[in-house]
Amino acid sequence: MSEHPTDFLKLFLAQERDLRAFIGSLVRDGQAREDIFQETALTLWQSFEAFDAARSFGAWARGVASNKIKQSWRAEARRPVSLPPEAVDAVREAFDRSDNGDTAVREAALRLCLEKLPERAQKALALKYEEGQSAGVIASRLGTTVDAVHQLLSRLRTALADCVRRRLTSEI
Amino acid sequence: MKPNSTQFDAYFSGHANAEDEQALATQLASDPALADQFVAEAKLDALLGEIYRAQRTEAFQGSLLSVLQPEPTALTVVPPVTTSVVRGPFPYWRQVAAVLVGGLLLWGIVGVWHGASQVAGTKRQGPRVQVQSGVASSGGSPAVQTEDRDLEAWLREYYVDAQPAKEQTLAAWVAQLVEHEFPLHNHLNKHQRLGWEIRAKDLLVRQALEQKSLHLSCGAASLLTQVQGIAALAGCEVVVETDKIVLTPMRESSSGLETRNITLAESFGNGSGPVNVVAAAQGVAMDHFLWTDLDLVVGETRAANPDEAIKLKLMSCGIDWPEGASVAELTEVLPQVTFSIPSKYEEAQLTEGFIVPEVPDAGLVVASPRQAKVTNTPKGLRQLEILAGLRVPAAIPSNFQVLDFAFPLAEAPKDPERVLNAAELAELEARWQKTAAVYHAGIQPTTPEASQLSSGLALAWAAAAENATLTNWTEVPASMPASTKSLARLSLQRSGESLRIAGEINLLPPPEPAPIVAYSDDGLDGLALDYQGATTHRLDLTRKSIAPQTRGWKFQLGTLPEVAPVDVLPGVDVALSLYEGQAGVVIGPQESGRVHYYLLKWVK
Repeated sequence: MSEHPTDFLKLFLAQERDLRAFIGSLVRDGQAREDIFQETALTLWQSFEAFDAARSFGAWARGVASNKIKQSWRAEARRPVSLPPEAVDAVREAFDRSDNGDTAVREAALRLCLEKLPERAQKALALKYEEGQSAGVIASRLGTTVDAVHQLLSRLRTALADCVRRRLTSEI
Repeated sequence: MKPNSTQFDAYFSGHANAEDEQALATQLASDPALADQFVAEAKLDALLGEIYRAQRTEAFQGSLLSVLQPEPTALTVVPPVTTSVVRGPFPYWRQVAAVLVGGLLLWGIVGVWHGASQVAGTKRQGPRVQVQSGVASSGGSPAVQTEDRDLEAWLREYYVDAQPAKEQTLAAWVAQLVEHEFPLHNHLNKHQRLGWEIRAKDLLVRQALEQKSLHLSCGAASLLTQVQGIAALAGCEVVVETDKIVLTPMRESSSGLETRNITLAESFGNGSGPVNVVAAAQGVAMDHFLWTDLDLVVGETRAANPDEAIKLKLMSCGIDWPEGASVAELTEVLPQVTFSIPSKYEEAQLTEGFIVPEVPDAGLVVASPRQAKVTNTPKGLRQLEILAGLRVPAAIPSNFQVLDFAFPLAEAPKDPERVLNAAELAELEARWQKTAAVYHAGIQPTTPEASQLSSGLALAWAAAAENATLTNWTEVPASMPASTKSLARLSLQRSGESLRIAGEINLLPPPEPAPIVAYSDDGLDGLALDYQGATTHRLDLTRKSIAPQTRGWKFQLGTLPEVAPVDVLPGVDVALSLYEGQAGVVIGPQESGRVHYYLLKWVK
């Protein structure tokens, strides 16, 4: 157990990106995602005294976040689709399995991969991830169709995933 | 089971339908290998988002830093708090201050036109601008049909590239604005309105600087915001001439109060008077605002009669109140104190007077002796709802305590008509100074309750700025390390829309020396940065071209001598405020020895 705020900060900040990724993988709405992230952070902080330092902070945080997500979905009756609790747990467990601390390395590899993309591809990604635009807006900006945007983003994701994988493999 | 990359693509690209999601969920729950790949995709998605968001923020911050600290060697922005240092990096501060002041002038003037446009014009002759009643019919405006993809070009064409003729007179460009652009105003979206305002400010400033003929004799910025409300509410036609603003009360007004849809929220702030404060608190539109039961203190002249007080105030500030325009006319159109409340509180009325703080040097203090504070009683909360235009959540903590944030008088005089004596006035002013700090800064985080209140108010203001109702917010305990970010968030609901606005306040650890970084996203018109030092330092951000990544910003930086430094309460390190209807940052008092900064990001 740790009581010092800096201990919490150290652990929290180290896991923040993965925690966001976990929440983001299950909660696609950006605002709801941020809400859950904050509530999770708040609960983690308030419960930090109960945290067993021998355990994985990341796993603990994802456990808390899982509960927050489920709670949110239960309360949010308007949401048309929510993944069943079993799926949430499965994703959480998969995150736990992949909790190897390679996020920074992956990010560096991804940045290098992004530099190789053609301008149009970079623009599409920027519109989606930087500006948060819808496929319709992206299509309008790029002068193409919505379906084409979906395809383009899908291919980009596949290409980037492959590129990252190759870079990580070559570094090993 | 073989991982289904198509499902992942659809899911993470955001175009998966309900069936896709359900199918994916079923597979995830039963196939660990698929879950592993799902996680890999999720991490990629998150990293992409993080990288691109960081790029955007860095680009903006870089632009901001370059403006704050022109010298190439300095990336740490905020020097120690001294007057000389504050001014040091900005040798052009005088010009910029002039520009800023001019902008404020126009801000108010624009509001006057806007408000006055809601009532019919009069037949006054002379070199003037006749403000047209009503607005252009919907559907006729090209602005309405402008799509997002055309917005930037549209703004550039109409508001940035368009340069007024040098020889254009003030009256002429006012006429141009009013006749050609103002009728569109109500049909513009937020970005377009902002562009309009930018251009209007530019025009006014340019004219003022070139002609050196636009002046008001006192408290220009705050005065105009008051005049704006007063004029519109009194049913006045507003005439702008080269050296003064003339308010002409309407004598044959057939307009009922119900037809006056006065939009004043844009001019909220800058030491504003009660009208715009309330308007802002109400949301964008304020239908009725009257002075009954209010005791106006006008500079050194006290007047229990609000009509007389208004007249005195206007005259003392160089506003021409024409001969024959009886203040009785004003009274006739001001029946009761009535506020229109957004959404479900539309019919609510605040029957008791109230006190709205005013910047002391602006001279006008509107005080209601009947009400000293809002408490956590149902009635008090109700008043808070009305005042702040917010719906207090049902889950509000039982210890939620609304402090006397807006009500200077500790104890109300028994006789509402009694003129305050000197001691009471002194007390009022002293208490108001404190209140103003809370009200303007919006934060007094010395107690959980106060923190709760202040953030709630700040968020309520944010809600009001969006003409929405605050439905929920979360608070983070003061003890929580600031670096965990996301200190406050809010959810808004507007007229059944699914509008949600997130106010994300990131408090980052203070480096030494600390840079001031302020960031505003598209959901907000701008950002103001108050620097609480020996000199009130203010950074005003308006959208103009600097950084393409942020759609362009222009920073106007300078001192505003007419804006009194806010007396930040002891113990306050940082404060969130709204300034001129914009979110802002208040840096802690220098004696604290620490300088923090908020990173504000508003996402719509």
